[in-house]
Amino acid sequence: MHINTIKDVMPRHIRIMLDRTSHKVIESVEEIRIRLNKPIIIRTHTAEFGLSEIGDCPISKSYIATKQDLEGILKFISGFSLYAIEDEIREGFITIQGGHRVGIVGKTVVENKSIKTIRNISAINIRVAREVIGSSKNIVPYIFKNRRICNTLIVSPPKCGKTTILRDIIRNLSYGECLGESFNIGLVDERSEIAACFDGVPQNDIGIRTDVLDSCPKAYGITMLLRSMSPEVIAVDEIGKDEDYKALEDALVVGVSIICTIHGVGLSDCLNKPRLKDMIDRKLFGRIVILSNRPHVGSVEAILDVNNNFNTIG
Amino acid sequence: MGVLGLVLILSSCTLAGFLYDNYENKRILQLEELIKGLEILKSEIDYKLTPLIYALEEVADITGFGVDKLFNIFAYKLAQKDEVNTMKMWKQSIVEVSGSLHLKEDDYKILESFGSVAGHIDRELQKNNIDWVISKLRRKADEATIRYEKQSKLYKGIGILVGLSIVIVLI
Repeated sequence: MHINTIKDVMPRHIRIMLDRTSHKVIESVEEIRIRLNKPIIIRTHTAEFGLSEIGDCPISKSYIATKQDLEGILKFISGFSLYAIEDEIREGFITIQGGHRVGIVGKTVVENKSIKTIRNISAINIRVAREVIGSSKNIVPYIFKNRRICNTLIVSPPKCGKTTILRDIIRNLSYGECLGESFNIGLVDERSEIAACFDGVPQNDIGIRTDVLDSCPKAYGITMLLRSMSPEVIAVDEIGKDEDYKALEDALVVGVSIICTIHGVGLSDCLNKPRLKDMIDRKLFGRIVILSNRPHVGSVEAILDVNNNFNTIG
Repeated sequence: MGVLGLVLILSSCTLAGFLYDNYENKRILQLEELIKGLEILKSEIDYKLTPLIYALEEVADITGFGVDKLFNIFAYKLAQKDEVNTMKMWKQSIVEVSGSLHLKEDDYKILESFGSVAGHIDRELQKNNIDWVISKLRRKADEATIRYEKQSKLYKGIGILVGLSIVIVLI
């Protein structure tokens, strides 16, 4: 696990504290939460720790973050160039080197009914990027039929690993790892979560045949990719808006395979979304992959064959 | 031996005149380079949204006469991430480089104000700040140029004349 790029954006005294943190905690850290005038909290999958001069410690003894700490982190993240990350600040998150995501909250400045910026930053949440290479190897064989990739919908509640699975499917297909056949993939990474581009370079392994449209709204991105990169597969994360469905349908018409994810608990949840139900009824999706966090995050609950009466095939 | 001493006095005074003249000339050149550098920096920030460190390195590459050192040192300090206060780092950079620059106290004071909003989220504010610094430096450079054109020959002449006067008195 590389959290060195996270240490790089910390003020020196917090960097030293992280250096003194036990290897075990560093290895399993999922989030570092830094709130103004509150103790710094490190979260792993199973526990929470504070951070002090001796490294990890009980939260009650944790270092209390100051305004200067929060400002310093933002300055370091932006390379002392807050103007260069103005759009990201407006969105509320910034992707840093290593693919880690830094979420920020504070006082929003609204102008013409849209957020102009966030000032008086009151909390920063650093989510450690975690690739799970190979997590899709039990899925990929089931979404391949007649030498092409089936249009696939990945369904799961939050925090069940759908983005991680999607990323690994993209990597797998891009390298041609499981199928002995590779595909040109167009990825619309609206929230920079899948490829996690930093300075235009994907920080996660998404394969050698993947073209990324970073920070681009899905509906525009799908159309742009169709026009410019002639992909065999288009991948998008978290569809939901009407324009997303329309863009997906446009792509399906021209014969491009689609792999996308959506929030939901099982098939019934999908069928409750009118626009999605219509697409499923028209059999525009060939496979529906349902994920859960039992027994662990990213567990495949079922892979359904839509054309075969939703039979479970995996 | 006496003749050698007189020659030395004459050449020293002449040289002093030329050096003073050269100092003023270098100040003008450095002010012009600073103005050029800040203009480029403004465009890098305002149009290209280039991160400050890269923008400073870019500016350092295309400026000279010792001014490049100032931008390079500032970029280096920012990249070190040992300090959060941008103004402090800019002031330190000015102090470190001041030995090799030929600027006056007033010039440094104007320059210092660039550090107050360097890297700020508001591009318009930065642009206005850089414009303000440029306009002040421009005025200083123009004044220095007019003065230099008027007094360049005078400085050199005074050096020679003082030297000759001392030599004559000693003879």
